[in-house]
Amino acid sequence: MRRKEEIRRIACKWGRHAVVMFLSVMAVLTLLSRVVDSYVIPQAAVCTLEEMQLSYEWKVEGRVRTKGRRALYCQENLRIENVWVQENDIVQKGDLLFTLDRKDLQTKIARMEEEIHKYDLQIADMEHASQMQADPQSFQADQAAEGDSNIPIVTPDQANVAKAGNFNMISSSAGAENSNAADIQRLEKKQAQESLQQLYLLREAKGQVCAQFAGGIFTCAISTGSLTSAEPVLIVEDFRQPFQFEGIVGGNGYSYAGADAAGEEDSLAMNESGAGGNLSLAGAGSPNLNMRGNQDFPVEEGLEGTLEMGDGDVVLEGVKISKVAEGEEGTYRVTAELADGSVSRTGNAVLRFTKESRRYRKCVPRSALHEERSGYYVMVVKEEKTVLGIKPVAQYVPVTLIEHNDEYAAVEGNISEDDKMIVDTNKEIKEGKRVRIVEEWS
Amino acid sequence: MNDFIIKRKAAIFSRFIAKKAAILFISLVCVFSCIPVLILAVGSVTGNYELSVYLEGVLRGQGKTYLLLLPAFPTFQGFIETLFYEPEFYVVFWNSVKLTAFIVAGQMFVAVPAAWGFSRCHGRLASLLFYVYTILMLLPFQVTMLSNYLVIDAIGIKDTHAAVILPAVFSTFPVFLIYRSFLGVPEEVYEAFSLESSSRLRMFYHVGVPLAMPGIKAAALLGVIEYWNMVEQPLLFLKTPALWPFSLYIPGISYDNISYIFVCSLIVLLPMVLIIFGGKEAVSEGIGAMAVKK
Repeated sequence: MRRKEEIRRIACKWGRHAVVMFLSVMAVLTLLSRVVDSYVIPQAAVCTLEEMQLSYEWKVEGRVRTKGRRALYCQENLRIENVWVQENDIVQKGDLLFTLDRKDLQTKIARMEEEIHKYDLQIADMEHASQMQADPQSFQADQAAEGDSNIPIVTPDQANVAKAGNFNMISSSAGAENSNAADIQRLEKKQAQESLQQLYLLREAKGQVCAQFAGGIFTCAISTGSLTSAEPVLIVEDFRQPFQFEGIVGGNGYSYAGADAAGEEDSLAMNESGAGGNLSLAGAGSPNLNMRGNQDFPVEEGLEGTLEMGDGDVVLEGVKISKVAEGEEGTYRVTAELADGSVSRTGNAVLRFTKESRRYRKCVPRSALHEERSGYYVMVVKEEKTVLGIKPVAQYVPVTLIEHNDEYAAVEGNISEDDKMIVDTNKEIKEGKRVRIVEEWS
Repeated sequence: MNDFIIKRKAAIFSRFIAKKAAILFISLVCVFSCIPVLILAVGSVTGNYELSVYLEGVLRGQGKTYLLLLPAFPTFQGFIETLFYEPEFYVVFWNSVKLTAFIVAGQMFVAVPAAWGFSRCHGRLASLLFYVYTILMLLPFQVTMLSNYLVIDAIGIKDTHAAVILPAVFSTFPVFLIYRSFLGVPEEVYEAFSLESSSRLRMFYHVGVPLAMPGIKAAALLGVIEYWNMVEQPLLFLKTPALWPFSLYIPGISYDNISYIFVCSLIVLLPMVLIIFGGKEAVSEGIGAMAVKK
């Protein structure tokens, strides 16, 4: 009996101790759970509604060129020793363009000189023949005087009148032919002499051909080791001429400026009709560019944009499109003339246009907008009474998308200006779950 | 003679059989009464998917529900998630602890002197007052709910823990229980103490309370058991979730939280088991004291 009492007493004592221990363990676990919670709770960056106009930026990639170009020709069949420029290079006056092979040049000069000499001989022969046919008696006398006894001397009384008349007619015709041939030879000789003069000049310049004016190499038809032809060796853009921008839009090279960013989020189709997709051209005749959805943006003559050249070192505001011409495969060639003095060189350039939508009261960053089968929605953080106190809780709010650019979207829905929308999180967020606001998105 | 012996043996045997049958019956009743606790323990170590299969009828409102006996794939995932990833659980747990502790402490602070007073006053007015008190004890909470609400609203403590604690502090049951304990103390003891001191307060403190301690303990333990599980009072007076005890927090059963419900229920059951284990003697002594006649 006494032992039983003792057991009961000990059991009571341990029971009380167990309750205290249980409460102590729960206290420790309470702290631990708070620590764990601070790590596992989704952290969210939030933003509020903005009233704004959505701006759409388009860009046409192309090149600034001069309106006038000059072709550079060279003597034919000269071998190129070295080419110092390539297409799109900028050259100043006096810059070396290419070098001719000097041995080959010398050979060509020598050959040309021989040719000229040949022309001289031929011309002399022809003149001689012509002279002989024009005055055969004096010619024979001359020949005799020169001691040529083989040539028969014919006197006028030895020939009858008919024969004499016929001979005179034939000899005068042959003399005219020789005279014409000699003239042709002289012309060819003259041309050869001119060519030779140019070759002399090239030789004096040691075979080096330099730029006569500042410009940009438009095309280069020669390469090291090749022979020159009748075609121009170089076509050079003359920087003394006015400049203009030339670019192409549409087709494969569509150039909506937000295309890069939008490419990641193509799930965000623009309108409800499902017309979302890539940029498309509106009609065959009109150069209108439809951005995905219902936002039209015409590229038309007179439209002003900003031109950026190189790495942005040249920026020209208010550049007007002067011409829009239909190109191949649904492309459009856009030309914009540049004011004198605004640009001093050619180069790759981007012409940007911006158009702004009407003003919307409810605009959210694109990253705050989500899509599901039933439509679009945003996750709004609202202060709610929870077991842990008043805490921010994520709530699903369906919205209607009106339009968007690559950064913002105009929406309609049950959201107010004070609502905070989740823009970015480090974990997946579920409806009704607590979130921790870590920063205001801007 | 032989007949007598045989009859006597038969009587002894029948009494033995009856005793064993009674023990068996009581044991079976005990086992059946423990089945909910057993299911709770098994469910807390069963995975969500397995639970959803077993309890499909409960979750979907159609289909069959099976008794959980042994999990096919025991797991402590429910415990880990509840104990480490649910800080809400601790809020409601400590709310329950706070409410229960304050209510029981308040009850002891009020009920012990009140019971002492009733036990020492023997006039007609005291008897009438005690009679009214006893009637109040018989009234269920649903009857006094509205009047309680009006008073709490009038004094501006609605949606605070005080709204739950204050009405419970003035509960009549502990007064009645402790009153019976004070009555169980022999009058001669008080008379003997009166020879030493004329102070009624000292008599209360040095004689009444120690001798009525089993009743006081029993009242306290029964109070703990009652208010640990209270639902109606918090449901009526507490609107802020941060003030809820666990009885309001344990949400509706669903596929997602089914394991969580089992674990929560088991954890909040534990302190009660420990308290009863440590105080069952006091409870039986205290309730036994109620049988003492005046």
